[in-house]
Amino acid sequence: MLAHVKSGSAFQLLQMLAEEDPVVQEEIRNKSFILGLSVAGGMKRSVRISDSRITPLDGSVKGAGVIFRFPVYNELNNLLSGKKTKMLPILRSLAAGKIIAGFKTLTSRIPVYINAEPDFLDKNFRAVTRMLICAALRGIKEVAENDSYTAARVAGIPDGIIALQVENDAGLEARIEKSGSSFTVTTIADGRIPNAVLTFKDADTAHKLFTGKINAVVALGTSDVRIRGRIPMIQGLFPILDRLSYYMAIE
Amino acid sequence: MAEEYKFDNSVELFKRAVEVIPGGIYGSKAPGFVIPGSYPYYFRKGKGCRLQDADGNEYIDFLCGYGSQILGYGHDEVDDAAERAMRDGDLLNGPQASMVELAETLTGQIDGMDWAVFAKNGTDTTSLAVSVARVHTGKKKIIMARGAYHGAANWCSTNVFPELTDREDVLSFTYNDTEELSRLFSENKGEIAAIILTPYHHPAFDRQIMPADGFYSTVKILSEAEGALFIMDDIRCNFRLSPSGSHSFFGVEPDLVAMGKSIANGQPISVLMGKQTVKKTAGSFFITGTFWMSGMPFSASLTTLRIMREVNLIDHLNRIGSMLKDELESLADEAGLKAEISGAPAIPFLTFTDDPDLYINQIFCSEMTKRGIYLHPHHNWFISYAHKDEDIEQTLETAKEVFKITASML
Repeated sequence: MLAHVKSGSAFQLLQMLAEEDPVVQEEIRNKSFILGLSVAGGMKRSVRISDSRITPLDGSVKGAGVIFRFPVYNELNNLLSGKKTKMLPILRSLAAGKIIAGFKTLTSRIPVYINAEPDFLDKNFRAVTRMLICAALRGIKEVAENDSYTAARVAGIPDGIIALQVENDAGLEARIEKSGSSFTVTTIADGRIPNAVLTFKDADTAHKLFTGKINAVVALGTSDVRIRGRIPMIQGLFPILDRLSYYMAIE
Repeated sequence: MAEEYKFDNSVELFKRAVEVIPGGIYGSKAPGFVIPGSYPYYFRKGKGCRLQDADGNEYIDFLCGYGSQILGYGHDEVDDAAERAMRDGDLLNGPQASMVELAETLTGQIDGMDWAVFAKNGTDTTSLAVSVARVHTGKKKIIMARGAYHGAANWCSTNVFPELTDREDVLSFTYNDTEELSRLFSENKGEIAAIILTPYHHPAFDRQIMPADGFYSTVKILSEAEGALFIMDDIRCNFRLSPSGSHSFFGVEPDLVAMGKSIANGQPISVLMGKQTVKKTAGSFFITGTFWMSGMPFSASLTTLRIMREVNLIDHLNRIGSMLKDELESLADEAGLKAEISGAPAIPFLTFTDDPDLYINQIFCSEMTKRGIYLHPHHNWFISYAHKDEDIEQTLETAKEVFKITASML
C-alpha cells in the first residue's frame, strides 16, 4: 500500500514538475522515453516522457526502455524514500544509461519542492502549493483504490467530481473524480461543473493544511476551508485522507 | 437590509473544543454538516420558536432542536412539570409512578401498540427493536432503505470500519423500489428478521419522498410471508403526522414502533412500543441505563402529550407548514427560481429543481440564516406549535429578499 501511495504521488509530482520546474523542463526537452517500476507479482506503473510532458501510466510498463524490478514492495519504498534498495534494472533500450540518469535528475527535483527551503518556497509558493494539492489527491486515489481498510467507506462515497480550489486564484485548482471504484486526478479545471467544491481561503491555507501546520477540522470550523455542493462526497474523503496521513507517517 | 450575522464566539468556542473534544463537535451538529462561516455552532438559549446563538444572534428557528421541541423551546408548563420532578429528587433508586402513567398513556394513544419500553435516545430504541426482532424471529438480517437514518449505532450509521462487523447483516434498498425490495426478500429467504422504515423517506442531503401507492402493502405482504417483523422508526416524524403514531397516518400496522425526539418536548426520553406478540421477547432483554429512570422526562412527556391533545396540534402544524410551503414556492418562482418543498407540512424541506448537489439550496439557506431565519441546508426542517402566523410572515418577508439575492448569485 505504501508503495502505491509513494510511487503514485511521486509520478504525479513528476507530471507537475514538467509544468512548473525549469530544471525538469530543460531535462525533458526533446526527450522521449518510458521508465517503468514493477514489483514481483504485484504493481506495475510507468512514466512516459515525450513532447516536453511527463505522463504517469498505471498498470503497465509497456514500451519502457528501463524497468526497475523490485523483489518486494519494501524495496520500492526504499528507492522512493531515497534509501539503499535491492532491485533489478531491466534494460531494454540502448539509451538505458541516459534514461536512468535522466530519471534520477527528475526525481531529485521532488524534494526541492516538497521539502522546500524558505527562500525557494517564497519564490515558488504557488507552484509548491499546487503540487502539494495534487500529490495529496493522488495519494487519496491510491488509498481509495488499493487499501482494503477503507474499501467499505470508499464504496459509500457518491460518484462525481470534487474540485479543490483556492479562492480568487482560478489557476490553482485540482480535481478528483470517483466513478465506481476508480478515481482520477486532474490537475486543472476541465470545464465540467463539479459535484462538490472544497475552497481554501488562500494558497497559504492550502499549503499549511497539506504540510500539517493546521488542523483540517479547525480549518473547516473557522471557514478557512469552505465546502459546498454534495457535502457527503467531501466528507467521504476525510477518512481516506486520515489513512493517507497514516501511510505518509511511515518511514 | 439587516446586517448579516457574525459567528466569532462560535468559532472561538470551536477552536477551544477541538483541543479537548475529538472533532470539536460530533455527528450531525458538526460544522461540516452545515455551511461553515454562515451558521452558528453554539447556542445560548431558546424560547418558543426563537433561538439565540453564542454570539447573541437571534433566529426564528426551523430546526426545533432537530425536531424535539414540538411545543417550542422553554415551554412553561412542560418545564414546570420537569422542574417539580427534579425537585423531588429526579433520579431515585427505581422508577416513579410517572413511568407507569406514561406507558399507560402511550399504549392508549398509539394505534396497535400494547407495551412500552423507555430509553433515552432514538438510537437506543431502534437498536433495541432490531435486537428484539432478531431474537424473536431467530434470524439475523435487517432490511433498511438506502440513505435512511436510524441512529448513530454501528449497525446503521456511517461508522464503517473493518473491525466493526455490525453492518454485515444489514441490507438496503432504494426507497419505494418494490422490485428491489422483493428481490432482497427473495434472495435472503428464511434469513430476514425485520424491515425497518421511517414513515416516509427523509434522508439528509436530499428531498423527502412520500411512500408510493402500494409500497406499504408490498412491505406487509413480503414481511408477513418471510415471518419478519416490521419496525417503524417514528423518531423524527413523531407526533407531527398523527397523535396516534405516524403509522396510523399511513394506515399501516408495524410490529414495533420506535419513538423519541418530540415526545417530551426536548427532555431526554425515547420509547420502543410493540404488539402483544413481541412483548415476551422484549421482556427477556436486560436493558437499562443509569439515567433511564430519571423522573423529569416522564413528567415532561405526560405534560407534553396532554398539551398536544388539548391544543389540536396537528391542525396547527399543518396550517402553518402549508402556509410556509405555498408561499416559499411562490416567492421563489417570483425570483425566477424553481423551488420545491417536500415532505409533510410539519416537516418541510426545500430543494431547487436542477440542483441535485444543493448549491442553490446552500446559498439560500445560508443567506436566510445570516439574516435571522435558521434554515438547515441539508436536513429537513420542523414546525412547532410555537410557530405563529407572524413568525411565518417574517420568514417570508426575509425569504422574498433572499430569493432575489440567491438568483443574483447564480
